[in-house]
Order: sequence, then C-alpha cells, then structure tokens
Amino acid sequence: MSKRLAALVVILILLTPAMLGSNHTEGEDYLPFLFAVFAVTWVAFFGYAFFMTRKQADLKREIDILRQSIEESEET
Amino acid sequence: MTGRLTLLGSSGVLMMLLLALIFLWVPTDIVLGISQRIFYFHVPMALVAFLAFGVVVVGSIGYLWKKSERMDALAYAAAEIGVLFTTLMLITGMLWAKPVWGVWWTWSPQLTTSLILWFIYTAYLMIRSYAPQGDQGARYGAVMGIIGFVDVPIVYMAAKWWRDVHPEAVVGPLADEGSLEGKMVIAFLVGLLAFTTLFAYLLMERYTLRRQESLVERLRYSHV
Amino acid sequence: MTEKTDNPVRAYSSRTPSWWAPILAILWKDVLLESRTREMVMPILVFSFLVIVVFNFVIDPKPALVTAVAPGVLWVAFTFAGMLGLNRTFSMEKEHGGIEGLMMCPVGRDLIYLGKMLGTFFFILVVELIMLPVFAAIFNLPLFEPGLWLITVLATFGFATVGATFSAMAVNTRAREILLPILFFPIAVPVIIAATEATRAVLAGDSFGDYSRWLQLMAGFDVVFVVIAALTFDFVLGE
Repeated sequence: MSKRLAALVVILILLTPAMLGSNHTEGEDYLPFLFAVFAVTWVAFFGYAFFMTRKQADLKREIDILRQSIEESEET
Repeated sequence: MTGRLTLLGSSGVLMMLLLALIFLWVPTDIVLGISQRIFYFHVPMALVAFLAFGVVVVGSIGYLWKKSERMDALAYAAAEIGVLFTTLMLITGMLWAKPVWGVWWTWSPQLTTSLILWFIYTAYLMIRSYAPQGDQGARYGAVMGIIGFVDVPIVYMAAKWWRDVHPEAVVGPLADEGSLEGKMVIAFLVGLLAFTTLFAYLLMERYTLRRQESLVERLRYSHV
Repeated sequence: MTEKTDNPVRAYSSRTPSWWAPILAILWKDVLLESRTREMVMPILVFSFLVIVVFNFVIDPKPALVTAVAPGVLWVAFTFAGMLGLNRTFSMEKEHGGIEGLMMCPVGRDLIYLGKMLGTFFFILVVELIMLPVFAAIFNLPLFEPGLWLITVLATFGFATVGATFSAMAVNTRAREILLPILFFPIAVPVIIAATEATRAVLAGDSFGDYSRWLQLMAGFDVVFVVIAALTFDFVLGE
C-alpha cells in the first residue's frame, strides 16, 4: 500500500522541477516559496505514509507474538 | 482492496492534472505574481481539514449513540489525518502570506480559526492518548470532538468581530480572497477534488489500521 | 430521573422542584467543603495578585499604555484563576472516591454536572469578585460599572460550562494538570476574546450598544455549551 504511495510521491517530486521552468514572469523571487510549499506538502504525505507503514509492521510483529503464545498455551 | 486502489490511482491522476494546470495552464495573477499559485494547494487543503473535522464529529456522535467501534476508528483516523492537513494548511498559509503580505502571520479570521482548529485536533489526540485505552478514551475523545465542532463557528465569529475592532493587525491588499477568473476556478476545483480523494484514500488506510490495532489490543488483553 | 421515595435531599429543599434539589445538594456540599477548609480560595487569590503584579513590571507603566493593556491583563489573570479553580472541581472527588459516590446516587447525570458546574462557577466568581477591586486600585480604573460585573458573570459561567467537563475528563488521566489547559484553552478562546473586548469597551466608556454583541456571544456560548455538556456528562462519567 505505502509502496504505491511512495512511488506516486517520487513521480510527483520528479515532475515538479520539470514544470517549474515554463513560466517566466516578474516576481521570480517568489519561486522559493512556491517550491517550499510543494516540498513541505510532499514530505508531509510521504512522512505520514511511512508512519503508517511502521505501525503496520509493529502490528504484524504483535500478531506473530500473540499467535505464538496461543499455540504455546494450546500445547500445554 | 480495489476500492483503495481506485482511490489511490484517481488521487494520483488528479494530483498530476492539478500540477499541470498550476504550472502550464493557469494565468499568472497580475497583483500577486507567481506565489498566488500556492492558493491551489493551500485552500483545498484547508477545506479538507475542515471536512476531516466533520468526519470526526460524525464518528464521535456515532460512537456515543451506537457504541460502534467502527465509528470510533473513523473518528480517530479522521482526527489524525485532519491534524496533518491542518498543519500543512497553516504552513502553506504562512508561505503564501510572506511574499504577498510581507509577514509570516496575520490574525485574519480564517487563519485564527484554523490555528484554533489545530489546537482542538491536538487536544483530541492528546486526550485519547492520555486517557485509558478502549471505551473510556473513545468516550472522552467523542465528547471533545463534539464540543470542538460546535466551538469552531463561535471562534470564527469572535475572530471576525475582533478584526472589526482591530483592523490594523490584519494587513495586505488582498486580506480576503478576491474574485477568481474562469481558469483559476477550474484549477481550484481540480485541486479540491484531488485533495479530497487523497484524503479519502488516507482515511481508508488509517481506518483499517486503527481497527486492526483495536483488535490486537483486545486479543492481547484476553490472553495475558 | 430523581426518585421520590426516601431521598434525603428532599428533606431540606421541600419547596424546590425535584430536579433542582440534587443540583442544590451538590452545590451546597461543595460550598460547605470550601468554606470549612478554605484550602483553595487563598492560594488562587494570592496567585492572581501575583499575576497582576508581574504584569505591572513587565509592561512599561505609561498611563496610556496601562489603560490599553488593562483589559487583557485582567482577563489573563481571570483565565489563570479559572484554570486553577477548574483543576479543583473534580480533583478532591477523585482523591476520596467521591465520583463513585456521586454516580451511585439515583440522580440524572446531567444534574450532577449542573451541580458541579455551578459550584465551580461560584467558586471562580468569588475569586474574581475579590480580585476586581484590587485590579481597579492598581490600574486606577472605575470599579462600579455594572457592565464589568455582567461581563465577569457571563464569561465565568462560560469557563465553568466546558471547564467542568474537561476537569472530569482530565482527572482520570495520567497528566491531569497539563491536559486540562490543553483541552480548555482552545474551546474557551471565544469567551476570552469577548470578555476582553467587552471590558475594553466598558473601560473606554463606550455605549452599551457598542459592546452588546460580545455579551450576546458569551450568552450564546453559555447556553449552547451548558446544554451540550449536561447531555454528554453521562458519557464522561461512564459506568
């Protein structure tokens, strides 16, 4: 799930600078702010996807531990 | 599973469409220049942040009324993602304010209410993490969600009236959003759709994760 | 909601309707407790005076500046006092098992809420009523403005409505002292804004019409949240 999200984010990050060059008007000193907006947004969503992956992994570990303890208690 | 994939796929496509519109199609605002394009990210995210809080309150009422654990998972997931969107809204708002108005922050009613919304979300998540897990935490969160939801419009009113008394604190030629041209409206709507689908996708994922967490929690306590 | 048989509360409140009786009983219990121990009013008063004194050193005491910041200082002090008062609402109950006792009464949970809320309200109000003259003396301001008292009553009631609920929640958590402000402040922001702005208008001598909408805001807040908090208190107490 999150691998797909990460792939999406990477594609979008790669696309962004390619498009930035196409509009040259005055006020180009605003460009850093525009960049910052996109960068922060993608980092935030990427970070959240990563956070969810970590939680999923923790859950898996817990389920395995639980399953083990169930099997052990059934053997006794 | 396919529902999730559709959501992810469509949000991805919409995002790319949005970027294309922002960079290749939309005209540059005469007064504000390039930085106005931040608007197409900032405002949709703001609207989604408020939408997320609506989901929180729906889940909260649902939990208190029906004791439905799914409603509670929905509320929690929406709150977490809501914090994410609210934080992004505040940051992009500041990044928009600096080039346009010259200041990082201004106490406009929208920004003030958004800041308070951020605090209410945070309070919701904190009460849930500090209260005993399970039913009690869910109940506390639900009450907080309902109170917070009713409070937000009151905060907005108070902030608006405050601004009427202290106008010099809010600065800038376009303190309110002016009228938009046709192309800008379309780009904005695409942005709204893109972020809403992204929100829906993230909500589904977090909701499922949350239900699994509760299940594991219950299993752990019944076997220890 | 209230049983009509053998309810000791009815003995001394025979002329009040049966739903008022539990509220008065809880209120009277808290008043008695506080008047006998006096353990909370004094520290909060001292603390509030300290806040005012510190503010006096923190700002440049030019007369024009003082009148400009006086409403804000007053309401910051009142808000802090309110916070400390709210802490107390359920902390003693929690320590001595009073919450379970209350829950065993054959009384609707919303009435329990109203009793505790009114107790908190009067408690904070007493602290504020003592602070107001001191404040007026230090800042050289008119004291006997009825508008000021009305604002104080409305705002304090607003603090008590949501504050009692949050106090009940926070007392059951691990970090109760820090959690209560985090829950309370964002929700109470409209009341703080309204109270400060209304006070500013009163002290500047504005007409009633000028600041009446702040009073309406606070009154609306009070009504809305006393209803919501009373209805949800059952869920806050739980089983």
